[in-house]
Amino acid sequence: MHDGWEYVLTTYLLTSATLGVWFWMIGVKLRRQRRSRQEQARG
Amino acid sequence: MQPVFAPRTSRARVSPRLAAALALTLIPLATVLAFTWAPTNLIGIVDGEPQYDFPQKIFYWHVPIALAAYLCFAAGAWNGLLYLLHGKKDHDIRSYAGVHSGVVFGTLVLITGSIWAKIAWGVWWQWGDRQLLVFLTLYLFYAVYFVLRFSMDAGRTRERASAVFAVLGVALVPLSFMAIRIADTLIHPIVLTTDGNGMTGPMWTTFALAVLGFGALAVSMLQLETAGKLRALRGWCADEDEREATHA
Repeated sequence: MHDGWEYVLTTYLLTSATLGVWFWMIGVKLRRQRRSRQEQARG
Repeated sequence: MQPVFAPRTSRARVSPRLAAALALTLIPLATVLAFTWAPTNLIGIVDGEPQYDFPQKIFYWHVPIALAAYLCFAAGAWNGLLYLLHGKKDHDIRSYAGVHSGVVFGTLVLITGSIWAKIAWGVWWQWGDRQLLVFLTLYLFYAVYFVLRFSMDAGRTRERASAVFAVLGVALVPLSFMAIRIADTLIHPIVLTTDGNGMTGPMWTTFALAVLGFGALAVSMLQLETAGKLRALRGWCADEDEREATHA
């Protein structure tokens, strides 16, 4: 194993987790808005 | 009754779905290539054992994320300028989304850079490096944007102040990019030079794919966040909390 592999792994995991959570949060918000519009359509 | 099938909120030049698909293809591809195809530089031999610059692999994410942050800040400033010229609320929302995305990417730049600095220089932060200081200044400047924006009541005054602030901040982007070239200490590694700075073809190809991937991710984030805020702004969403959060 190369020296510093744990730093590299930490960097990639941390970045992936942050961007993943951010993307997921935007997705949740947009889905909630779509549901809301559908409820309005049903009256 | 609120409109259900509302007209398009924007003329997005790039579909957020296409941008997201590009990002989800290119970023994993670049990551795999970084570890399997792009060579790892030999930095010396200790006790007969070759020593490789493995932490340099962080470069394939750190620099593209920094470029994505610059792209978002530039989008925030550009839309701030458009707001000042035309006074449309849409541009205010787009400017806000650009600054917000830029700060998220900027946070990742500082974290990944600090990790790389720790293994490369032995310290988490190097106060003598102008590149780091200018980026930190840029980051803190745009972090203050939120303090300014949310300390004022919603309305034209707040929108104008936010737009002016976003436009002023972008002046730091080229300064940050050039700072490394005018720095005295020359501690920060210069990678983007005309002679390639020792980077081989596979390293450049991998880097280019990562830049495109993170660029696409930034575009996708900007489009999606803007779409959500514009819907809330126009009352197409029944969620009162969300409308409040948008401060329309």
